[in-house]
Amino acid sequence: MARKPILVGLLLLLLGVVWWFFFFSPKVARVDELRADLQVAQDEELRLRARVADLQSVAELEPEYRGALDSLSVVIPDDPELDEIIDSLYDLALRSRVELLSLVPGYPSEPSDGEGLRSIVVTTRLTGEYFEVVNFLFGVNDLPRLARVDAIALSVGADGEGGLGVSLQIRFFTLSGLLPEPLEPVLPIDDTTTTTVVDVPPPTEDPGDTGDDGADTEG
Amino acid sequence: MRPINLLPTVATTRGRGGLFATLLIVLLAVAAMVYGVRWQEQRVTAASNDVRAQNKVNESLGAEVAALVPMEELRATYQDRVDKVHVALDRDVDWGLFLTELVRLVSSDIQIETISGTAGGGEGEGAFGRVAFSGLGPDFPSVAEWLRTLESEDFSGVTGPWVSNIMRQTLDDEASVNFTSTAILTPESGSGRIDRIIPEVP
Repeated sequence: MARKPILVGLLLLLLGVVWWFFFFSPKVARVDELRADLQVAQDEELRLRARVADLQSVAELEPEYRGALDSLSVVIPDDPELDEIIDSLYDLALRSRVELLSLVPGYPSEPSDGEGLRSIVVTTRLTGEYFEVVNFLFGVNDLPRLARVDAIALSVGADGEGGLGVSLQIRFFTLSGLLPEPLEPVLPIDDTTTTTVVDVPPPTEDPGDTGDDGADTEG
Repeated sequence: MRPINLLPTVATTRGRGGLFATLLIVLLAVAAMVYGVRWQEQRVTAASNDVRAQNKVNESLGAEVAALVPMEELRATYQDRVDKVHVALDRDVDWGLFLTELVRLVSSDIQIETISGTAGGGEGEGAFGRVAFSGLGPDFPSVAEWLRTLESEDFSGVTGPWVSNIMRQTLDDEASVNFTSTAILTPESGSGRIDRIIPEVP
């Protein structure tokens, strides 16, 4: 008679163990898993909301960005535009009252440092009085297109009248060279073509096999 | 009086009561287990719904981001141009200001004959370039004064002035010294025009 409660207890214990491991615990694990997924998704929402807010702030400032880009494309134009360089230096020389003796523009350099920036160095010789030369140098800094004086050489009396003889290396910038950019391939590369090339057997084998393999690949 | 044995009846009653209690306990236990499983199923369903709703919100936000991608490209293009201007103006020297300061500070008895300068690197960290002079002075102390002028705080555009050669000469029966000198251009000689050139986007 005293065995019955023990057997019932053991049975209940066994039932409890089975229930725990096969019914209850998997559900708890699933809930934990879903909560973890939810947390990840909520974090993603925060990230997306921040990104949307950030991009919306750009969208609100789109006219300003476009205006700034227009200005910057004047500062560093896409094309060399050497004619404008010559015009701007000539106009500046007139305004500064220096006498422009020579302009020797170099070809656009290859882009360096991965920036895609090309330099056009214009070696410029001019003469003028001290203040005229200084005005010219200030004027170079104020040109709408970005120009910098990399090297300067002044000598007194070079013009034979006590004025200054000046040689300058003025560097302008552009984003492209004289040649047009290489064209993008019009047709996309077909993956099967690549596979066919890989499947070509070594040349030592029978040429007849090559044709078969190619047919198999295409098939 | 005849004695009556009630023992079997009591045992039977006790036996039935025990069985009933056992069944009750088993039933309660099973009910608790079923309830526990149902409760967890409800939690799973609720969590699944939450995840689904959250994914829907994220999809909506993703679509918004996709619609705004051109704005990101616009900003990237702007930033790329700004970076290019920074690269282009690296160690840019304001030669006009340099000459103005030089003429303002140098003693009137020094006559500068040539000035040559290069902007850019190659002179070490913090150097904006190098400048070289040749000039005439009345005597050797005037060249020493020239060095002191270049090194003075009033002329912050250069540092490390040096004279590599001083030679006495006589021109038109008048004695003088000619000298050659160099100095290193400092960041103070820089044009600082980058903020003016780059249009500000608030």
